[in-house]
Amino acid sequence: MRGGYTGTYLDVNLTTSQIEKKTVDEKMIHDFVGGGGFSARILWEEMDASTDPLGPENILILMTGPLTGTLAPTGNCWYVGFRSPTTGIYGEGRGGGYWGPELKYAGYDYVILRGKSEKPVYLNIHNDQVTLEDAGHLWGMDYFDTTYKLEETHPGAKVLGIGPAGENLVKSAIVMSDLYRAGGRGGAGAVMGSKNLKAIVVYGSNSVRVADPEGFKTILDEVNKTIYEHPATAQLMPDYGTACLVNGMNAFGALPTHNHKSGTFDGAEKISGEKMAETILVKTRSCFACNIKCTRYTKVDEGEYAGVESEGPEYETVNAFGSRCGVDNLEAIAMANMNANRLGLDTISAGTMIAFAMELYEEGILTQEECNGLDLRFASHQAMNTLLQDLAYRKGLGDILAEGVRTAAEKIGKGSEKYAMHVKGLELTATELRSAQDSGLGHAVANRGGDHLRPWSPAFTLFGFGQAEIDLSGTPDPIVPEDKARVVKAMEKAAIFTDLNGMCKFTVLCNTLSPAQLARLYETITGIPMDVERLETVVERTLTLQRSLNLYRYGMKPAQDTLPDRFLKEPAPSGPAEGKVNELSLMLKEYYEKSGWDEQGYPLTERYETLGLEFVKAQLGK
Amino acid sequence: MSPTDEQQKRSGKRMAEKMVGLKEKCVGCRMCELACSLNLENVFNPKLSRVQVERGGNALDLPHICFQCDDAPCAEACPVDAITMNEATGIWQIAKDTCIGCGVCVDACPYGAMFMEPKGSYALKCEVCEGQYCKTICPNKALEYQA
Repeated sequence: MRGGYTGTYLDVNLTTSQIEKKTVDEKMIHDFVGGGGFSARILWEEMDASTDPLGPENILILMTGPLTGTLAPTGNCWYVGFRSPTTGIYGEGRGGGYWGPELKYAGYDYVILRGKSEKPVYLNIHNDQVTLEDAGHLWGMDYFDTTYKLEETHPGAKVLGIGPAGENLVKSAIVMSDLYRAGGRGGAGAVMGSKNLKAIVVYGSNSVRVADPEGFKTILDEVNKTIYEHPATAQLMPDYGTACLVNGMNAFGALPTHNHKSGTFDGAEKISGEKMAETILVKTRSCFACNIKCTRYTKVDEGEYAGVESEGPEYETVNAFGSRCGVDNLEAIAMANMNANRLGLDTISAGTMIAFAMELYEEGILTQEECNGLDLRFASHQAMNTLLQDLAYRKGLGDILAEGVRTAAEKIGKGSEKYAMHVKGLELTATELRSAQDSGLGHAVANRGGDHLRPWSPAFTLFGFGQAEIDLSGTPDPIVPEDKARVVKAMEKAAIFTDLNGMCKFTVLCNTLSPAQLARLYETITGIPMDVERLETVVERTLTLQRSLNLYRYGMKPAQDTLPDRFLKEPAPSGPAEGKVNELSLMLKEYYEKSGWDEQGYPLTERYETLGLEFVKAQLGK
Repeated sequence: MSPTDEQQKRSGKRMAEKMVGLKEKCVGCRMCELACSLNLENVFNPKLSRVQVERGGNALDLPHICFQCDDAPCAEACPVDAITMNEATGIWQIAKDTCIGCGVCVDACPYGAMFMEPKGSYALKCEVCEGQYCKTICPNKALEYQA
């Protein structure tokens, strides 16, 4: 018996209001597992270079994985796939919470959304009853209020949706679910907004099957034991959340500060996970089926930011609105976090954008008048919170920043490109790329642009997790480029597999669960044989397909596998990497070779054959 | 009053075997729901689970699970006497074949610990199964077995 997959998906045309239930392709299941693999496969068929990311021809795919909705630890993920309006290339996001499992219980592996509705609508999925409903009363509402309203109308249902940022086609707009769960770096929220789709409400009461219940329970015991014994998943994450990283990253000189000028921040301690636990933390919580418990429920009781209440802020958010903007006020960061959730903004990109504007202001490239009258110096947290609102509503400077940091720099000119922290148009994340050479490589080659999660290799190079699994002679030195492509490739296996199977990356981030354990969870639930070798092939196949989509469908050039000059030319001013730059070219060469790509970064013809990507090979140049 | 407080108030009256949900410990992961449906039904389906977690505002995470109360309003309300107590264990049990799926017991339970099977065929409640897989799986010791 097949388990995991429901075997059915929804194909929704918003232009014609036609809703069809279709059968998931068996070969796709076998070759791509789910999540970002399915998305890339579907986009390959449907996209070409002329697809306007914000036009009705773009498609938005809300995806799950085979383990979403199961008891596999963290089996809660939903994914979103699309052509990104921010980067012009492959767009992908992942969210946790409860919405993904509910979609499975409603009976669907994924939903394809096409076209554009004439009026604002929301999609209502109640098991096999699927309808488009008027969303006129919700348009303009923030994401929290939208959720509260829809939960009243549809008791027990889970709500995924966008905020004003998505409606206003802000390119750092995300898709949110379950109030606090975000997905869609690269503007999935704007794509959803461009389709006049405000939300997707799901209620499901069907079962997700398991092929081998006893086999599953056996491997579950084993992986749970691993999770409960590993310091990252048993102590650091549950005790301090993802912000457990702040102090460590700062000590390694890897905590991006003042728009990535440096990797050390004097106020790190004040914005750390430890400080959060002492001050604004109310309660530790979990997403669905998660035993890592990294969620922070926080509340500010007094002072300027009294009344702020949300889940988070996560490490990325603490860095984006904290040290990158020079802000050491945790309550101000919590405010920005809550408002980003309400507005439906990507905290990573929004923080990058504001830090960019702050540096331009300090460098005299932007005047106070051009900054919406704000005294936008680093550390000015009130100005930061105001600009965040202006970004979502495209007010003044916010309208320029709403196009993403790459385009904003083009518009502003005056040498501002130098301060725009992005790869391929996607804003950078919370790792300083001179202090962790490997992470520079990871960001440069990630298929969705400046992305820290392809694998998060600093777990190995900075924190030393996975020493037994990754065989490197001697201690891995994060500030030398040698052998780093091997680290990234080694860590990709498990990391990318969680982009497909429905589990959260935090199960593998610090080499907690092994590829063999992931394979066993997959095969006991689905009944489809899986081992490490096959898992590796699926991962390589997916990465190469996404790469091909970028190169041959979206017109990306391999020369875009690069980093801002700040990392390649400006030596780090402080920390262990002081005086060093990122030596990307050395690592790239090695990475291409290990991936089966030529020296320029194009996949080799025979690679398509060994990976079973003949359909790509057949269409090259078409 | 939460079921936990209520349960503690009543626990002295009779020594029934029971599972108790502790909202102070619950983190809202709902792994108990998946464990229950896997153990008893061989599928993953929270709506077939005999324990269901309420997640609400102000960071509320509350596991609703029958603690085998003395007066059992569910049994009193049942029009076909499908809910009866096992005298040996003190556990209230539903005779699935007798149950007509009317849902009166769901409304009668003051603790939200009685559920309807999703197709509406019969009611579901915790009958303290042998494996207690929910308790085994809970990552935060939010379910306790008491006897």
